Amino acid sequence: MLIYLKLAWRNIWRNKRRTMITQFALVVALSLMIAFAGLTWGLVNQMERNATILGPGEIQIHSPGYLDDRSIYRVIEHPGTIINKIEKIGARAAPRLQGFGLVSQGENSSGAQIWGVDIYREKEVTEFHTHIFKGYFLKKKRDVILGKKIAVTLDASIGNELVIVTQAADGSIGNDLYRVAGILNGISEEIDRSTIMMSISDFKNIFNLGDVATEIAIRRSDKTENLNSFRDRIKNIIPEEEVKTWREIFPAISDMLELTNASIYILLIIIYLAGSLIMLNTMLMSVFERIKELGIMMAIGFRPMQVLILIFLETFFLTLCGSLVGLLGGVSLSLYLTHYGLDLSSITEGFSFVGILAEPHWFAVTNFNTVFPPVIFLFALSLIAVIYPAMKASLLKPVDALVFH
Amino acid sequence: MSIRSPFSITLLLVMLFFFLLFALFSELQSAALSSQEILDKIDKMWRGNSSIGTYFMKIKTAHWERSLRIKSWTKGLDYTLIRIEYPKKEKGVSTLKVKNNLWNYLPKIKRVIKVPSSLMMGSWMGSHFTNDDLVKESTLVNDYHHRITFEGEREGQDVYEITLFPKEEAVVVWGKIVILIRKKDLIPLYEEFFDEQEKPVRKMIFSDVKKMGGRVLPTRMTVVPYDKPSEFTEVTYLEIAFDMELPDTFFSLRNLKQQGG
Repeated sequence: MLIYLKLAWRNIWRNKRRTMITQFALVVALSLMIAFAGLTWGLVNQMERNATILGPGEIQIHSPGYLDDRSIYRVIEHPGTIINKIEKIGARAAPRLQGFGLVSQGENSSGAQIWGVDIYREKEVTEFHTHIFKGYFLKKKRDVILGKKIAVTLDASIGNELVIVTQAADGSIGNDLYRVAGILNGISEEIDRSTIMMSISDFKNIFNLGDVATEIAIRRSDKTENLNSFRDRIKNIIPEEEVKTWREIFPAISDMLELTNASIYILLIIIYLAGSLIMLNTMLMSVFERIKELGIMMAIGFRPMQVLILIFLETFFLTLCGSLVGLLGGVSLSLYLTHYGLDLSSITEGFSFVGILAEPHWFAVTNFNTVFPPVIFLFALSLIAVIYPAMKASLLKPVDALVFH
Repeated sequence: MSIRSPFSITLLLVMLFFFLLFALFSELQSAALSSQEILDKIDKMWRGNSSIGTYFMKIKTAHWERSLRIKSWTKGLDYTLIRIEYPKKEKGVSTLKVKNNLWNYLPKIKRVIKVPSSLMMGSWMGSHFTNDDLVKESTLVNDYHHRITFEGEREGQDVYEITLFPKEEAVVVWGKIVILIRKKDLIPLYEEFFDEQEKPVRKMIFSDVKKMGGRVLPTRMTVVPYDKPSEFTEVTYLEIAFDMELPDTFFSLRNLKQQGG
């Protein structure tokens, strides 16, 4: 066996220049793929984060039918008891109330989605409080925080007085004065453009509501637990309400993120197809160069199977050398992007993607999932590409090969 | 020539026939009221040059039911001031309309806020009237093509039916409006509002025709949304006076605050 390894290793270095060029192609392909996979995963992770802990939460509980008809009358009664049950199994939960109102600052006014949030619990479930662009998160009575774009629409800045007018649950007209405590960073189209948050008690006052919530957002205690099985656990404790994962509530976002992940494999196949064609060409040339030599080897007793193994081993070594260097290059590039990121803020202020905002400073992630598949695919495609030259070599007839010119 | 002459005579007869038909038609046309005149008369009936009225508004939805007592001042088609007098919680809440602008005054917080155009289809104070209803009256004739689409007996009465279609360039909220009007005194019976797909959205029914403020007019208006047939808003006039002296300054933001306060 050792003799095969020795032979294969020596064979690939017989034509140094060709080997180097082939390996260079593999290095470039692999490095690019690892970096690209890292960036794509980074984007997907960031957007998934924006879609969950910076928004709906991982799991939401609603009164049945609320998602189809977001009415202030389809509420969860006594959300406190439900939250207790959820906290008992170690997860975090926050009650929310959502309604519509007319908001005005100075001469400007706009319709707005109003959220009543539990000032303390919300921080444990989502990360709005760390995504404040200016000012601070809700602290006092009558504090409100605004989405980035609606703040511009209202021309509101920190400390401004805000008037909110609503139709309360009993049909009366709710109206009160509030103070702008903070303005949120870009989160999602919907939140940026139309959302105003206040404490849940202020919300109950203006909307004239009792001990109810329109939504309970939940965050897993154990991030590694499968989201669907976690949802089923919650469903078992709270059978009377509707329990859904963010993927079920926002299927478009979920699908889009899956598709983005799949784009890694599409690019992978395109880049590697080029790489493996180079590989095919290299090995085919090397087989044709050595027809006489292979003929002699077969004449002195090498069997076709052994020739086949030899060619595959040569390919394996070529790919191995290339991928080691490529791995080194790709991982360092990817680590650089993980740490320093790709700063696109000079080009764009962040773009939104199916309603979810992607930040202009784009960070990659580097992990097993971004590194391993590109390497495995490289080996697989190289070995597939070399089937033809290997077959060609192993099917040679020694007599013909010896007289080949 | 002798072969052709019967043709000429036929031609002449046909022309004469059309001429007579045309003359008859224009005669009818001038005798009947145009849709423009009818709509103008209806507009004037409620508003006069100016009006001061008090009415009850009863609102019933699936979740609550409430009554408001409201006082309103109008001048021409451009100015309206509405103030809630009852219940206590909303006492003094006022709406001012000047041309196509709408402001609400909230006495509790002593603030005036402008209703943005994006909320024109929003409900006015929780009723089934939209903010647009307050603004609309003055632009109905301007923004819609209108013509009489039916004339004759319907629901046991001799009526006109006028259909309004939005003008191409007009920014309007309704795709079609059908108004049924009693012929004898030009009192409207109902207005039906349709969306762009010509699906009926709501019906405004006029009833209780009485003499009030020196005029005969329907003193009750009921709005029923088609998607929630159990809900309605009913406006009943308690009293109304026409052609009072009201200066333009009465309809100012300043007075909006004072009246409400």
